[in-house]
Amino acid sequence: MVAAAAACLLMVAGGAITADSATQGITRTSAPGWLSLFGVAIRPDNTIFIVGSKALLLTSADQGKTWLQRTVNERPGGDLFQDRDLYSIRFDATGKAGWIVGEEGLIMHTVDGGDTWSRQDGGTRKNLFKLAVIDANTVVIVGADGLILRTSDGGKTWQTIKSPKLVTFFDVTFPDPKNGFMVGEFSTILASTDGGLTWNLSYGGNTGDFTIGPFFTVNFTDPQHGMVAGLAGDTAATSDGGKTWQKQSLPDPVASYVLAESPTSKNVWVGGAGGRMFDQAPGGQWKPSDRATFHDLTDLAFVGQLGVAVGLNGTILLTNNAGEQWQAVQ
Amino acid sequence: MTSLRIGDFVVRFRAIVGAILLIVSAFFGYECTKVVVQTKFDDFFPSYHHNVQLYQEWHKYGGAQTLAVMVQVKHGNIFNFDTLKKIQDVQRDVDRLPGVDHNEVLSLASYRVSYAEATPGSLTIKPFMFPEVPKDQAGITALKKTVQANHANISQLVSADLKSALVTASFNERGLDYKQLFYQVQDIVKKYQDANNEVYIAGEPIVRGYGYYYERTVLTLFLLAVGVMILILWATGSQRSRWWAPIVTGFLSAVWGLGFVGLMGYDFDPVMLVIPFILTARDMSHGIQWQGRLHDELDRLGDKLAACAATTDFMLPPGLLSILADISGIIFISFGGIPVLQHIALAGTVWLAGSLTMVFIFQPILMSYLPTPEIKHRAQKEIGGTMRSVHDFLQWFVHIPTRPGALRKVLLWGSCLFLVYGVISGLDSKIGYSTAGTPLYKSDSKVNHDILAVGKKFPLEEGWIILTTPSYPDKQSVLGPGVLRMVDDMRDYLFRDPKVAQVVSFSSTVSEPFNEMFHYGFPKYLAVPESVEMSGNLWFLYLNGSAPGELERFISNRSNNDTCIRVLLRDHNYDTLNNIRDRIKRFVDERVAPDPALNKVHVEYLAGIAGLYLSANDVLKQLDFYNITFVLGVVWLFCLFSFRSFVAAFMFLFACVLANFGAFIYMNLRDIGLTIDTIPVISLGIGLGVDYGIYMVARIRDEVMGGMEVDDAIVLALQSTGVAVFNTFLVMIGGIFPWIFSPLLFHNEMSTLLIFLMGTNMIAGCIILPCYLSWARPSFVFGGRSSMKERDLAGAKAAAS
Repeated sequence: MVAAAAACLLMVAGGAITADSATQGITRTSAPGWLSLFGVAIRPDNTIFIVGSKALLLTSADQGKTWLQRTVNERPGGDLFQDRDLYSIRFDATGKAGWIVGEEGLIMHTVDGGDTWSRQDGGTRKNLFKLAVIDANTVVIVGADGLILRTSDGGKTWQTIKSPKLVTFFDVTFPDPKNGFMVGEFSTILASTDGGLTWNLSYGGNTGDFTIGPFFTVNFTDPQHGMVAGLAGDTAATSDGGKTWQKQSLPDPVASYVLAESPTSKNVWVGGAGGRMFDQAPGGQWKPSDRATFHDLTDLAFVGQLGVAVGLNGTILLTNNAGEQWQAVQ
Repeated sequence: MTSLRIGDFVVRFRAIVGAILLIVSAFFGYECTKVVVQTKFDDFFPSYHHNVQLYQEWHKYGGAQTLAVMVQVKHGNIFNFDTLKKIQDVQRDVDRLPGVDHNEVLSLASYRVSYAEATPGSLTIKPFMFPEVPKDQAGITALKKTVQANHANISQLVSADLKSALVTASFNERGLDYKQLFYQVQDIVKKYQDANNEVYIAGEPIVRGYGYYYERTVLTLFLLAVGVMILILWATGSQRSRWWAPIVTGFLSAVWGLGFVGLMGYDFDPVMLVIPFILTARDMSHGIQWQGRLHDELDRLGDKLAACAATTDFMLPPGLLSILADISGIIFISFGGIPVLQHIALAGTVWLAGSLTMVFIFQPILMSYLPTPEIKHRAQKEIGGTMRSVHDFLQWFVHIPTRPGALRKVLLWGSCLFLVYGVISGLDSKIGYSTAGTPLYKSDSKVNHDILAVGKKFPLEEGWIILTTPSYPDKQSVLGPGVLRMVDDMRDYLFRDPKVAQVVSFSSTVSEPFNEMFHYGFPKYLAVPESVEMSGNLWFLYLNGSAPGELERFISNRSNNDTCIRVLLRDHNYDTLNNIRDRIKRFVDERVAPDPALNKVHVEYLAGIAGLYLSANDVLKQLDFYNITFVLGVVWLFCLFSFRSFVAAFMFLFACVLANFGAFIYMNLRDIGLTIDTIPVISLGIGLGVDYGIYMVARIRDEVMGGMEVDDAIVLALQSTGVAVFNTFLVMIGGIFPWIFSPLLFHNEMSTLLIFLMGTNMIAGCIILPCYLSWARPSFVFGGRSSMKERDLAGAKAAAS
């Protein structure tokens, strides 16, 4: 009991004290195949950041040719104790401030472009699945059981925002500093018009009908035009800022876990189960892309022509031509 | 005085002693009929070792005897009806093999190999390809997609390139008939192999089964080797009649040894046939030495009975010494606790002890009843031409030790350098396996070809880590999130070793994928369940959706207080096994032990076939070191006692180290490691040639005690005992040589090693030791009692009285 209490104290202290991440790492040409990759972000200077299971942080400054593998020190103890899954990573527009969220309420913060990371206390042990960085001080995080966290002071303090629906949220996005959208179980879509301080039901949310699948991902090209996707090829689109949604379907009934827009081609990409990817030109139809992997894709990011998709079993797909061709990093 | 009486005693009571020995031989002859040629898997590993005990305790997690049958297509991939049907048929045929554990037959077509699928409102568990193979292209395409999407969980059954599929099966070890199993598996291979589908087989039952496949060849080689020995014996000894006497005594010694094997109920592994052959060769070697000395004594004394008695007296002390050296070489391997080595050691001891009675007691009796061996008259030929050169060379050769000069210095200093090199090689000797496949057979043999082909696609070696915990719903039960997380951390840590191909645990194979599927298949839920209750629910879902016995591969009982983590390795090399154990130890020390949330969790390792190999390696490493030390100690002690001289004791120690550590030079050059198979042969080899030096030095000493100058005694000993030693050497080489052509690499390497060992022993005994005696003239050569003089005096006294 004494030992357990001591360990708990250490844990709490570790959370409060901030633990720098390991800046050393090992260089490799691909991700470990036994680990899952859950999140990807590309800094404005094209440096790629990928997070995954077992506190994995992969970075590449040469557009994916080589990778530096690091373990984020997310709790006290040796490297074998660093085992929380990291689910999402996002930077602000400058690429200096950034956050990682993950399992059991984990929030990590950087102010030096991802060289070092320190822990922030969000006051929860629920899984945090996604975050949206509005600016260097304002961030919204969504997670399990209706959890919405928001900070307006760069993460010094986190405020729990009341959700109109007690469902798990899987994704959140802010097309501008005021307008935000999040999606979750029971095809729930919430919208905010005040920078994430309050949220209202935009679509779905019928928690009494268990046959209704979730939406896993949301993407808005501007405050009016957006799209959500979920289980079994279900998608929905809006062109009026979320007031109305039109249901659509992918050509194949596969689950979609990530939506992203290529800034150069303006095509919207969706990736999901079994490595399936589809893209849609503005006003066009969904087109299947050549399959470069059979593993589930979990996140997708573009900067210029460079695009990176990540997934389970260490899957990394790269494109240097805005998605015309995807190549698996072996 | 005692030695004098033994010879007389044997001759005086030859009838009764001979009859007793024949009766005992008849008894052992009857017991020989009970010898069974078969392999017992359990016998190959040390029963007291933690890994073996762990394996036996957790045997419910499957057997270590795994058969792997790989179906591989030449063109395309396995996703065509023909190949998929073959996979299913192979699975069914394997399931009918004798001794198979039906719960452990796994393949793409098994109902135990399944995946979970999430649909809105439901979670279903489906086998990949059971009960039927998809009949249309759409079904086959769907199957292919399912396999690809779930490949991480069945990578041990379907290769990454989709060209190969594996059917694996475990067997109940007790009573497993390897021969029957081997031929039935061969039938499966023949039945399903065709132009586009190749079938490869691997696994411990196949490796052992090949012993039966080559049984006839090995037996033929055995008989050929015996024939060659007899031929050489005839060629070198037939100038005297009764040259065949050593064959009789060698045969009777073999009857004693084999009879003991039958009496004790030991099994006889067909691969190990080389060992009784070596033992028989040893018996004959002593018999040849004895017969050679008898001929010398006949020439000297002119009386058959007196010569028999005198030969017994002269030969018994060095013979006893060399046989004790032989026995000490083999008896110590029984202390390793490996049953097969214990059996070899005990049977070998009786066999060699049989040689003591047969050669040194029965051979004089036999010869005393047979007519006096006479020199057959041969036409005297003028020595000339090539023969003259050979004669001149031999004359020059026998004088090498007594001729001061550069050559003798080079020999003495060269032997010292060789000894140093040998000791360094000995310290650097390899333990266990150092290549993929089995070292019993050649690298291009069918068995190794198959093992390598399967090993390229699938891991073949499996180690088990066993967790024992409190029962569910304790948070530290095997379903507790903290425990599942630790297991997953261990998986991650073990995967960092490139020799680890897969880690199969309840956490990674069931709990996390089910957690994911339970949450709409959302990938971020591919993680440890958040609570022990959720974990219990997922366990229940799996239990209800899976085939009977499937859960028991991970968790053995419904209390959920133990689990097995299977580490699949790419090979079973010494370093691979040691590294994985070290890695697990570090994980337990640094991750499990300091975590108070895991203080009721016990981690034990390493069971499974990898753990068993590791246990053998642990024992062999110690065994080899202690064995050599023990043999050298025995040689030192016996020589000290026999020659009553520390100098003599150290001299023989030097010769023994010189000759036997040379074996390590050969082993390192050929990349041969100490394994359960090689260690009995190497141990036998340690004592194999020690007698050469002992016989030589004893003869020199006897001649010096008889009044001869040291150098003259050396020359005489080389011309008489040296010839007998050389004849023995030739007979043994001749007998061992045919084994070089064995299809078994093990026989090939061991026979070459033995030839090398005997060569170094002969050089040490016939050249280096005489060189030292002539150069140093140690006092023990001049001191002590002369057997020859005493016998002559005794004979004179007897004549006078």
